[in-house]
Amino acid sequence: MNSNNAAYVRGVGNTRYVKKADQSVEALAVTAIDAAAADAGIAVSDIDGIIVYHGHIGTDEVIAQLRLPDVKLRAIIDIGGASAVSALQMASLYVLNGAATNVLLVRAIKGNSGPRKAKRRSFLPSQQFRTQLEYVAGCNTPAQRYAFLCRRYMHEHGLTREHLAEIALAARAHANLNPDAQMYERTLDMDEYLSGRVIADPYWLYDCCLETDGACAVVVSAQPGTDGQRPAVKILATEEGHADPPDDITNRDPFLHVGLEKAAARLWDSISLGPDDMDAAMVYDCFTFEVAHQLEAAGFATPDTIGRLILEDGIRLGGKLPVNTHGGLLSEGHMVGLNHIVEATRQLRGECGPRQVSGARHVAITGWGNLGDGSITVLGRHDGSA
Amino acid sequence: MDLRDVPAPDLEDPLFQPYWAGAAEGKLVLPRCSGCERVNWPPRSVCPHCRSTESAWAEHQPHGTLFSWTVVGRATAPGYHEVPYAVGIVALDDAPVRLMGTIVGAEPSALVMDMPMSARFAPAGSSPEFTLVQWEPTADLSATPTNPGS
Ligand SMILES: [Zn+2]
Repeated sequence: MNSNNAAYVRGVGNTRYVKKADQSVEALAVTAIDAAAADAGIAVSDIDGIIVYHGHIGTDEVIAQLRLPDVKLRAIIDIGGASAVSALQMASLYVLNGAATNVLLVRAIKGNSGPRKAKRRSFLPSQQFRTQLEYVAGCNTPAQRYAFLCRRYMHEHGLTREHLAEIALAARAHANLNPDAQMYERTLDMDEYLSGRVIADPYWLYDCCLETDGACAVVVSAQPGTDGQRPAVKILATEEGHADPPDDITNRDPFLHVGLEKAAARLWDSISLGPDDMDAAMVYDCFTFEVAHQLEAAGFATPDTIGRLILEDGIRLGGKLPVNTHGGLLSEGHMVGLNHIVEATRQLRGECGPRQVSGARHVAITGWGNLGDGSITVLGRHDGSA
Repeated sequence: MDLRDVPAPDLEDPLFQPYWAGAAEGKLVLPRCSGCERVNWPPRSVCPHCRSTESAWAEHQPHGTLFSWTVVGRATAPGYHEVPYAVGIVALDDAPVRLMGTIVGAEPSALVMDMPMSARFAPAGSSPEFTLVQWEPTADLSATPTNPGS
């Protein structure tokens, strides 16, 4: 959707992202939500809508922990890593329609020190395809499923190990500038990248996202809440899209078509901006190749130019399109993409210190989840009174 | 590859029962929609193309080409304890569908995109036992055995 009467990312907050947090999931969530409310200039009790995600803190826990007096609506968006960006659309609809005033998006998890990922319940669609066709063949993780896409793409479009490596190394270089990042103090060079053990080839260790303990929160409102003291961050447009079919990868035709292509086409049609107008992109980076795949699906490159964008034009700070300046899921932490929205907001406000993209006015954020669901939003800096 | 610990799926699920029954006899059996004649895979109870709820299951040639694959280096799947192993997607020769299956009979490093593959029917599981459809590189087209299960 795109509306002249757009909503705002009014406040953002997060904990530090770590491998093992001493605090409980609830304590992490409260820290991030308090920070986001303070950043938004509202009382926590003014939160009256909540959108969450599977496996993270739930709506009722948030209401109970914060003693929220009057939450009017709650939702869970269940398209995996595409959910956070998609939730911006739902939150915008809520606040613009008047159904709620301040909608909280929150992620809080002990993703590393809590139950191991492989033991967690699967929320993928069409579970019988998973059990009847995939598990019996020895395939049961996102890394394994997406590796099929990665290898075919590499074969068809000439993407190489060097491209995958640069996505991992760029993310790490950015995280090394971000004190909240799980990998802030851990550098990564090409030798170490190449020494990573095989997880699901072509994905090696450093092609894979982190598992993280931490929390982050975003408050969406119809009012920017800045009192002209700092730039407002406007949600210019948000779209989601689904692959054909969304519940199976193997028999898609074309095989590499994903939901983001549809979402991005609608998004760029709906606003007077294009990919070239973006000052940075926060791209859902569950694995290295998904960044390349989504940059292409979102219109930042074609299959012929994606390699050049990554290695020559540049995806690091100072490059043509800085990607994941916080370090992303690969090196900041795995907050299922809500941390991408937090980072984009801070970039637009000019709060990012040594990793600031100078003069950032427009940032695109993508989401990728389940078996190829996609979402995309563009946030814009709005100076002065809104 | 020891497949005894691989958990059996629901072999009585009507959507898949003829597939597993066929595999147990060394046959690759897939559903063809009775309304529009399409081979729908994965199978669905309602044909997304014509809304028919009727399918006829038919045997297919157990041959195809390797469309993509991954080499699993970290064991995560129930029953698959030993790594590395390869899982692939095979594009069938005689129907426009692709099947996921474990790749056997070749070192993962010897796999090549679009190489000819043939099915191998392997006993798996313990309680209950069932038959898995695996894929291996076709040894030599001129020497393709008439019964790949042998
Ligand atoms: Zn039909």
